[in-house]
Amino acid sequence: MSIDTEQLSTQPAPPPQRPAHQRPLATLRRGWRVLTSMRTALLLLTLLAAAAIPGSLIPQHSLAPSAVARFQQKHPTLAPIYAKFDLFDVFHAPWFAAIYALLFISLIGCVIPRIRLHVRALLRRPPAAPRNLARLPQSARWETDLPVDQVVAAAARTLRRRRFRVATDTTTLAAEKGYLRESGNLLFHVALLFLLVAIGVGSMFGYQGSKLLLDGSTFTNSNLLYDTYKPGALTSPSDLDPFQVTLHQFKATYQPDGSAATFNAYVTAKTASGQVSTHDLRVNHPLSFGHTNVYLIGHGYALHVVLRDAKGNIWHEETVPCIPQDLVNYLSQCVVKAPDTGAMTTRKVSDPQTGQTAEVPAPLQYGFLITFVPTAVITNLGVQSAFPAPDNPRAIVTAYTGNLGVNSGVPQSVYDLNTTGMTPLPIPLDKQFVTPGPSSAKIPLSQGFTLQITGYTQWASLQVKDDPAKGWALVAAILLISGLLLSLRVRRRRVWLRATPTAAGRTIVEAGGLARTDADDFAREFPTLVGRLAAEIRPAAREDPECPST
Amino acid sequence: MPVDLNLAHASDQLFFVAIVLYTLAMLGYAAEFAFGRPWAAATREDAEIEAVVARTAVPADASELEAALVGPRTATETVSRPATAPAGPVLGDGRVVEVAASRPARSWLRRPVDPDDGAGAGGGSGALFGRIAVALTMAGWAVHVGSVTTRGLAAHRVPWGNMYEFSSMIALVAVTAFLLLLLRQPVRYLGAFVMLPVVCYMAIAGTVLYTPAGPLVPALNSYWIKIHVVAVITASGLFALSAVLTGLYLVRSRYDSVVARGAEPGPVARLGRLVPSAAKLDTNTLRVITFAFPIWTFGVIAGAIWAESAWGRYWGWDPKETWSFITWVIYAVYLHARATAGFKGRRAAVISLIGFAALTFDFYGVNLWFSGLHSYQGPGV
Ligand code: HEM
Repeated sequence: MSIDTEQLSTQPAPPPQRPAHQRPLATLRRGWRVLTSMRTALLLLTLLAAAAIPGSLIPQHSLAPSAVARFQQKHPTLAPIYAKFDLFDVFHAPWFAAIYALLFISLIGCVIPRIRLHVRALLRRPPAAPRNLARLPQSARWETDLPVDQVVAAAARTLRRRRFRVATDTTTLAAEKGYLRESGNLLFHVALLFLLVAIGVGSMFGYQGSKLLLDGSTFTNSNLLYDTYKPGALTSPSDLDPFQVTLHQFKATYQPDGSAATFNAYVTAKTASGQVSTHDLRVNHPLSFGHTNVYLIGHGYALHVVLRDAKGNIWHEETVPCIPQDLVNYLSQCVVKAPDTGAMTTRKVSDPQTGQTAEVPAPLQYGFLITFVPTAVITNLGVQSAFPAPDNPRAIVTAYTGNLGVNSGVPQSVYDLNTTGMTPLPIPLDKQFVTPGPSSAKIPLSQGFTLQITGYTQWASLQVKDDPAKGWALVAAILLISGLLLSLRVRRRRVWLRATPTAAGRTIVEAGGLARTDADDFAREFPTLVGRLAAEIRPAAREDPECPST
Repeated sequence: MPVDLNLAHASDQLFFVAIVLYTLAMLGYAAEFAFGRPWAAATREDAEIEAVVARTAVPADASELEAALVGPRTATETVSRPATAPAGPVLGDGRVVEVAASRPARSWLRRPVDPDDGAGAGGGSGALFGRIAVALTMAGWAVHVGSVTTRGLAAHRVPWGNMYEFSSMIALVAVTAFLLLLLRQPVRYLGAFVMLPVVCYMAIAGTVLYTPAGPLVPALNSYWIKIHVVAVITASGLFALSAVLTGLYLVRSRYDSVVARGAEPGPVARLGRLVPSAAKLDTNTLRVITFAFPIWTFGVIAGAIWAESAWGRYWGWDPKETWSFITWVIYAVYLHARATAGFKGRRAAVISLIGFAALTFDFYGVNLWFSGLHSYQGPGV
């Protein structure tokens, strides 16, 4: 369309093609133009979507570290290649960040000139009528008896009533409506920028930590006390609000089919300033301390175990959390490490030089792997759990002696027992299988030691998440939606009118219209508008119904 | 509260009846094509008919003088351009705006009068089948609403808590959108093409994805489920409709290019003569996507707010979130492509179909193949 060089959009016009200057400044400027063009933005957007695909298909460190480990075992040749391209951590990969950053810059480079153009359009009169209105996508032409000046005035009145912005001169009229479309569009794009900033700031200054709490225990918010703690790049330990949470009781109920019905963690919260309150912490109902939230994210069982020597002296006693192996029926695994027993044993060591083995005295240490089964049933696959609630709780104990390696300096997980270098301790089958409780049978070990499982309790795992910018992200999201609605629902259109006197003393009225998109239904609106204009541009009605001439 | 088994059973039966009614409706729409001989009008004359009478949507305000268009220049009507100067304004395409007339009649039970809108210039028994099909669609819709409602009442919760229920709701949204569109535009030609995927969708939902009525797992038990899921389902139903329109657009534009070459259209392209002009289909696709996009955006944001309260972070690139984002980006690319020149027609249509493929994967692929937080389990460790 050559009639209207001014489009209804503030999308900057493509730069004129210039001969390729070799000067670096020109090259830079061209590069900037290319980067901030709509086409590049489209390309970058598509790239961003494409880049997110491997992140959903390949296991990710941030979501499922164990799945990554499994994948690495299964594909020993492919995995290193994937790792090289950060495919196990796509959303934190430099190349993902590069696309994101380019899009960000492109968006800024595109939005700023558009804002300038839009503000200019808002301050200016609607653009003057093109010379030939009949060549516009919408046009109309008719004759009337009214003189030119009255035609223009009547049309201006009609259009103003319909909330057009109108500019007139003696014979022509220009009107425009729907500026909010562009305002909304710019609001949308600016809100998108703010959202990206808020996401970035939140992850840089926030933190996330998780903590497993046994019934009856207390947690104080400190980076040193978490089971896992992930600070942002710029988070300092002093940013942690030192509140306390005490778990009184975790309670779960289930449907008859074993699926979860309710989870409740009854907790007491104490703020840094000492205010105490009680809460029923549930899924979907976190506990808030300012912008830090505490969530209930998991639960499980814990066993109370006691290790005694032959004389009945207690050498080790603890409540150990068991990790569910099966998230449906909660068959769980617990690890107990007893490095101190006061007793000695011998251990085989081989001399690396002579290759001979010798028996040397060593402290007696025990390691236990205990399987906790909340509702035990015997199947031909062995003992299984049939239900997640503790309806028929049993524990099955496997014991090891040898070097636990707790003082070896190599960090260990409390939830893992490294049994290499340990010897399994034979326990008669009928003694391995016990019902936890105060009067539970004592399991015989070596040298007269016994292990007793005196009961079970539950734990809840809490996740603490601090995102100082999440309020801003929400504001940005609301603005984004508002801008989007304005941008997609407001219709922007221009109408022009030209009145020309004829030799016969009448007036020819020409009207033309232009809309932003063909989907705006302007092709239907325009004839209606023309009908309206034709109806209003008439000699004043003879009788005025509001002032009856009596 | 326990599940009301009688109501749950009634819901399942109504679901089945709805499928039967929709299937019959689909056959009715197909019969309209078969007996209406739509190809009589749809070939060479098409270009001339493009310029036929456009009914203007006129405000109903009785105090206002209403404008309507008369005096078309067309081969199918006998009224020609008046010899004397016209009484009203003449539009650029030669039509005359007259400053008096009544409101245009509603178009739903009647065969479309505008060949550009509807399925050609057939009539007679074809139109009767079409009308019966619309009545069957409405009956099926009412029964479908009954099925969804009784399920909610049976389980004492909102009836969109598992994939069977989501699928049923998406189908319901698509049918509702079609019926609403029918109130405003003569789009009965769409009937067969909307009912076919709806029936397939519901058949899959009722067999493969079927889940007995039951309570929600704790993670889903939030008022955000009402907001987030309603938005996502509504947008999905609309995107499904846009994909049908896009498909028809591609068929029609292929038909147009074959006919323009003077060749005989193949079996698929021949479907093109059953539907309105490519430009109209294209515009309607854009309209539906423009309407659905903010709803989808809102749904994704509501999901993030829900995730923030359930899992402690508003965005975590879980596969469901990732694919929602991908879907969002593709439809944003579609809107951008349409907003700038040079990316109309088939290339834009392809983007729209890719968007719908991503959406489908988001709904089904992710639920069936991945086990993210969105696989609707209780909290894990
Ligand atoms: C550097 C990046 C971007 C640039 C340069 C850009 C540019 C533009 C321009 C120029 C328009 C107006 C088109 C017109 O009025 O003719 C527009 C509209 C729009 N943009 Fe962007 N945009 C960018 C990024 C995005 C992103 C990331 C999204 C969201 C995913 C987005 C969503 C939209 C939407 C929904 C519209 C409205 C389309 C319409 O008017 O029909 N934009 N964009």
